[in-house]
Amino acid sequence: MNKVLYTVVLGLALVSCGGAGDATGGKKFNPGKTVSETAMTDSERQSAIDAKRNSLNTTNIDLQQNYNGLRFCVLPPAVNADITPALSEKIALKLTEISAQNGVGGISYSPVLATVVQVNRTESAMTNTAPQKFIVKYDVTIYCGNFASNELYASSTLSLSGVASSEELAVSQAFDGLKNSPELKAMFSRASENALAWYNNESAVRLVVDNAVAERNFALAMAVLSSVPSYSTSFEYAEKRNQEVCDLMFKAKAAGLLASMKDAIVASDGAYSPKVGAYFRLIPETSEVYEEAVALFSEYAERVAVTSKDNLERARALEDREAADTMKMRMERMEIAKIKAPYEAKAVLAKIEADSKKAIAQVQAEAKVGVAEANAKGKANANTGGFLGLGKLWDGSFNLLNRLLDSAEN
Amino acid sequence: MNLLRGFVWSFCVVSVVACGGKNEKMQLADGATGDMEAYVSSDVNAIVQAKPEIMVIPSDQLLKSSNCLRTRKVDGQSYTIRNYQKFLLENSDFKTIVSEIQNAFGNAGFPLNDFEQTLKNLDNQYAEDIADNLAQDAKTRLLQVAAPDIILELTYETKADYSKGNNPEKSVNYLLNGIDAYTNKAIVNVSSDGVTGKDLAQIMSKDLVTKLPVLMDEIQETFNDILTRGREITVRVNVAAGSNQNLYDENIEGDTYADVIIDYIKVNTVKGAYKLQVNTANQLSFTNVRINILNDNGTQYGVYDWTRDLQKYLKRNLGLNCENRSQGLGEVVLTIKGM
Repeated sequence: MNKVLYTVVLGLALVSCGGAGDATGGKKFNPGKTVSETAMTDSERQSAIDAKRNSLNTTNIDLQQNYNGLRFCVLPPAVNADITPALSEKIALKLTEISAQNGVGGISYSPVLATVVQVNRTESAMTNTAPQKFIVKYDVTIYCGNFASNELYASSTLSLSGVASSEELAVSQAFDGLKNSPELKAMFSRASENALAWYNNESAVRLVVDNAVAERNFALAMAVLSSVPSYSTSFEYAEKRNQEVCDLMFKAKAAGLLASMKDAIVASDGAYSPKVGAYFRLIPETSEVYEEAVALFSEYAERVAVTSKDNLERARALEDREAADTMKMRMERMEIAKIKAPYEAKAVLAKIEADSKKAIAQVQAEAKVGVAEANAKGKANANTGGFLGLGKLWDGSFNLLNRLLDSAEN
Repeated sequence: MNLLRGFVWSFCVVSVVACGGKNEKMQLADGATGDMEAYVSSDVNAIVQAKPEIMVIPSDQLLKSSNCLRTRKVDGQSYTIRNYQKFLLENSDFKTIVSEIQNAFGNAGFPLNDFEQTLKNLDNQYAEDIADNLAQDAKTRLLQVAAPDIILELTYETKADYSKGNNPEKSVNYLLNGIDAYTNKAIVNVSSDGVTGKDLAQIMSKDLVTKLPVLMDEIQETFNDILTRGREITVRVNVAAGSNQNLYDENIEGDTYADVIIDYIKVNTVKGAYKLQVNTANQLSFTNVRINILNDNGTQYGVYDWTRDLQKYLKRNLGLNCENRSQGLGEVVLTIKGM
């Protein structure tokens, strides 16, 4: 009886003490100091931490650089099987942000300087994990160049990868990784220096402008002249020449404007129409058709009896508004492919050719497709073909009047 | 004798009180007891220190039979897509069986990690990380998965002849495979063919009662083996893209870096246990590598520490900059970044 009792008591005591006889490594836990706790005193450690903190607080002058007015237009990558419209927009927004951080971003009225991005998906895979993950990898090459001079100023290639539970999310996360990096800073810096050097070379700017004028490509000439930064040595020339080219353009387009004015007179059906005055005012006095325009307008003005001072002023105001509205309306439906496609395609091709045989083959193929498509589809496709087929065409404005006149001519 | 009897009774009372044996109605936490001092002063158990995660996961065969597995081609390569969420939603039997297994392990003092809860947790973590605007990279996201150290892969199949009524007797075949996730070695498997009964959960419960002790004994053996011969791991040393050094480059004595690493492994493994698997200029990998599990001071020593030591060795002796990319309990990954 006693033996049984003792056994029960012993068992209870063992259980209550947790003595289950675990397998052990035969060592006691006695950690002491960790490896990183060196012989450094507290004050020495604090000084070292302060020094490190101070080094992190040092202002990064790279972030403060600003290339005073130089603007590289961001052209989004062309939409294709791998790049959805939303992704194209996302890349454009990211690049615009990065450009702004590097002092070369913002809204530009001239696509002479541009940033173009080429995106290639290099890998797609899925994991065998739970949950499963999609993995995508991209090579993203960013080019900065000058469309007018056919020069590629700088380029940089980044590898981006994304991992997520769906392919769409993985792609989006991959491009979240498109951030301002030392490589991109260096690229924009290099591109800006090269662009400034070009603008400071007045003869180079002259050559491009004169060639454009000789080809009656006034839009290109004015785009180049408008893009010259005020602190470059070509600025004085650009200001003067811009006005001259503007006049030349008006002259060249005067016949078209006269025809539009005639159409407006017919359409007015004997009543007053501000459109007539608007077209009349756009015809330069030095043009060959000016006299005819004056005669037609006088006759029209007499007919509609806009003679009193009050009426005349009201008519002028209406005509001003009409001219502005006409320009705005036409600007919206303006096509610019014909002035852009040829020199855009040539611009980067030449440089890339030297860089890589593989790249050139691809770019040439894409350029051919882009140009062929643009030619085939005409106006409707003007904003979707793109720079070497790499991106949408720039859809801003060279110059309001220039574009208005182009439209009128067509 | 009476004195002895009195002592024994007193001891019994003390023991019962120590175990929370009060007569009045207790709250759940009131009955909890523990002696941390005794626990801390006892010998270190390396398995408890870095407790392997064990998780029951549905096998591909089971997913397929539930229409939760399909293949998809991405860039010309076929991938298997496993819809675990759909499976877990539509297969209550799986949960019942898993809870039987979890109960058995829980009773043995080794609670298992729940697969479904782990997936939910990962979803929550992901949402919280986004809400908190935390920095994340592709690698971090890649590692946000259920990563048990030991996988218990469950397959079962039920057959029933419904021509014999609405609730016919069912016949169940099942297989539970225990696999070491790092070495891909099968640790144990238990199975039953043609176990019959009316209800799947009941059939499985009844059968598992006899099979699970076998399974747990085998896992215990694995733990014993780790304590005796060290943890078995895989080692991969690779070279980063753009590195100016590779594994076939030589040190000043004329030995390749690969040779230096192999020599290091010979010395820094338990009884020199390792097997060379891949040897190229850009990758050196080993399997069956056995490493210590404890430092002399009783702190744990795992793959990260082992990699850290190798990293320091390569930096000090060869001037190589390396990155320690080891994860979990059983995989060493060291990447040479260059010099």
